[in-house]
Amino acid sequence: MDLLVFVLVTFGGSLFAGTLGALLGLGGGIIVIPVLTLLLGIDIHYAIGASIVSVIATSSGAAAAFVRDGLTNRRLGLFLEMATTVGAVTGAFVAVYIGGQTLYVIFAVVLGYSALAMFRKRHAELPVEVADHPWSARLNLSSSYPDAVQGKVVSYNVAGVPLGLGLMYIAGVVSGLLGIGSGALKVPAMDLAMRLPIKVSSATSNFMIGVTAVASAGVYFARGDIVPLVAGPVAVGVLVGAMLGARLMVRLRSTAIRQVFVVVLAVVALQMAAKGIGLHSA
Amino acid sequence: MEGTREAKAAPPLGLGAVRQAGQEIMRQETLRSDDGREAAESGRASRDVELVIGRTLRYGVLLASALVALGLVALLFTIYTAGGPRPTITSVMALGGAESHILRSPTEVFAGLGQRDSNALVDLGLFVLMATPIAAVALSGLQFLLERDYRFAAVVVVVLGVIAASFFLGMDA
Repeated sequence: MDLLVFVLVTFGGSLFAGTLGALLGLGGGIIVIPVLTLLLGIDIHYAIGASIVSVIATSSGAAAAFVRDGLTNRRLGLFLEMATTVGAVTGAFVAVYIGGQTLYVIFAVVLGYSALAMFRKRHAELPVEVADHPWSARLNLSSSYPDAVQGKVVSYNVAGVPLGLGLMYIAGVVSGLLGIGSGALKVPAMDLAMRLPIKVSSATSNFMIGVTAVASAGVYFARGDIVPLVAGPVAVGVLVGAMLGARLMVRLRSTAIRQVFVVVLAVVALQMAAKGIGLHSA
Repeated sequence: MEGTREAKAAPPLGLGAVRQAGQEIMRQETLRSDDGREAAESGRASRDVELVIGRTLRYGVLLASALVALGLVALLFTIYTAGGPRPTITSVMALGGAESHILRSPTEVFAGLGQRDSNALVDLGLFVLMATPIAAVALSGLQFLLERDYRFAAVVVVVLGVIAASFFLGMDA
């Protein structure tokens, strides 16, 4: 493929990945990796290296807007990040001992379950009657955010803190094992276990995935998996897309975001399941 | 359905108003645990840090994209003016060498910058990108210190410590 065409297609795909990633609290790797490997025929190692760059770019590009709009719960994000970063280091260690295929199947089951649970509450605009967990009260984790669609400031409590912390550890392990931001696990953990409003879950996940990904980016760089001609267009495309996505989210209904998320979760679950049973080797 | 009814009952605020409400929330949050003048001053300082975090993220991202885009344009220019058959992604990646090569460490990147290597410019942009979230976390730690929230300052130290550890562990692997 002509080099210029390659750069432009990569840029376009990354623009889309960044927009969707910012909107849903994901890193965009689920779009960047298939575009690079299946569509453009790039080696999987370089695609994963570009995906790590994509996660950091989505996170920072969106966080710039989310922090200003008061959507990110930075206290909660940093608190949970303790579990995620430790999990990521664990994952990098045990990666040698665990079969990749088993892991993909487990991942697919977890995502499939999350998709189903989120599908069931697809009509819920905001969580109702959430009791603040004692840990949340002690650590001052509950907060509020301005919702432009609702036209009001929404106050929220934080439930299930220990369960959330446990799930974030697992999300970290998966990050370390698969080299992804694992926003697809973080958002359901905050949405289903901690019962946060979906916009807060998404924005806080966005903040967290960048921090998690940075922890493994150095390794990929040293391995030589980050190629300027591949990671460069991805970084610029994702950054522009993430800034667009962050602007879009403020204007969207929570139910709409949730519905898009369910579809994306289902697609990723199928992708992972296919890899688990060895349908394709990407 | 319920959401639609609610939205009709309360006409949506403009984005500007919502943004203002967001800043008001942050202001109250930083003041929540404070009392007395001294505490109010530390609250103001912490609000300044909040502003700095927002700006660090914004300018970090802008600087990173500018460096990466500039490096890419320069790189493509070099490749296309080199002559020979029309370059494809496979041919360029396979060639490695002069046009597209992979730098693996900050030392190599800075050496490359000295030799006006466009690949190094792209990598420098990627370094700025990676440094941005770390800076946001570190500044959050400073904010917690100013708020005298030592428990959360400790949380930040743990997170930064684990990231630092992962870098060293990664070097061995």
